[in-house]
Amino acid sequence: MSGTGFGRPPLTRNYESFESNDLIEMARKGQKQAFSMLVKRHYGTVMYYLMGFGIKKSDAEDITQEAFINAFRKIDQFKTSGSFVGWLLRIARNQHIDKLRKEKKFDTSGNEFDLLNLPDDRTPEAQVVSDAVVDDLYAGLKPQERVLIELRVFQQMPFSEIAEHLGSSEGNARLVFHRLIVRLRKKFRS
Amino acid sequence: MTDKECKKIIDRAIEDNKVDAATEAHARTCPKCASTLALLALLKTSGSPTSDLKPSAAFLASIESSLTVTAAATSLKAKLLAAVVGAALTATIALTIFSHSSKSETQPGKTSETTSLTSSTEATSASNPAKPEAGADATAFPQLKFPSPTDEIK
Ligand SMILES: [Zn+2]
Repeated sequence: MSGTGFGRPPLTRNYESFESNDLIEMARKGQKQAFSMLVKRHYGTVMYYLMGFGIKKSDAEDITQEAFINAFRKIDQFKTSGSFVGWLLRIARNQHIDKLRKEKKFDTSGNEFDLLNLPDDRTPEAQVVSDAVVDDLYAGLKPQERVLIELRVFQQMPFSEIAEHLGSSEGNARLVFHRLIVRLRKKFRS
Repeated sequence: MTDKECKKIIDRAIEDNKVDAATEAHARTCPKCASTLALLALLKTSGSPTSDLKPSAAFLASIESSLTVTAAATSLKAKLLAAVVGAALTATIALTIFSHSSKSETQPGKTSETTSLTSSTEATSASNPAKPEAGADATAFPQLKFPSPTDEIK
């Protein structure tokens, strides 16, 4: 579906209809609106990803903003053969680590990012977000579970890469995903 | 079929982003997989669980203004680079002309050659500003002279 709006004048261009790779190419040429569309598309994933670390929503938003600005600066370094979301999450994670280092709160034991082994540690903000959509199938999902579904079902990311992003082992990522699917399936049936 | 095999079937359906004939045949005999595939289809149509969080207008405006600064800084860098290259080029041409005119003062017979060399350097510079031509006269560039280490012994 790429290029459905290429023939139109720039002002009337509907960026929503473009695929991410087309938007990335346009952003590389300096089209800010194309990059803004990427921000709109992936904001939630980056936010939930950061909130999954137990980061407050307001802090997560600051890191997300820095991460997107950094991504725009480095957009030439992104290889279109890889996952753009994965690349964004890596930038956001590094941004978070830098922030923790500056605040001298970085845990070098490496346990900091083992998201999939954490108990229910939803931030109050995440709970509010979930509670607002009680009837929804997704209601009550932890931020990291939302990210897991996004990466696996919507981005078709392999478990090895998901594990890398969520600081877990490939086997654990697979196990958590299938358990999550069973939970959703039961909810879906009922 | 074992639970492990069912998981493999679901994994493949997700990775391929489609249900092939074999998976469809299996789903007809396996209520669990049929239900999972129906669930996945529903998830796909209702959208990602991360899409309920949307950036505010203020967030987008803040990003866009930062992008303008970034883009401006990049273009300023390019302009500065162009200015530096331009200045270096001007200096090279000036030195070339100076060197040749000095030589022509001591060698009056070579005036016509100097003129042709200078114009050939200019032509080269216009086509590839950052690179001096390999075939250009090496004496056209200023050379630093150091005293020979044997000078003191003499
Ligand atoms: Zn099955």
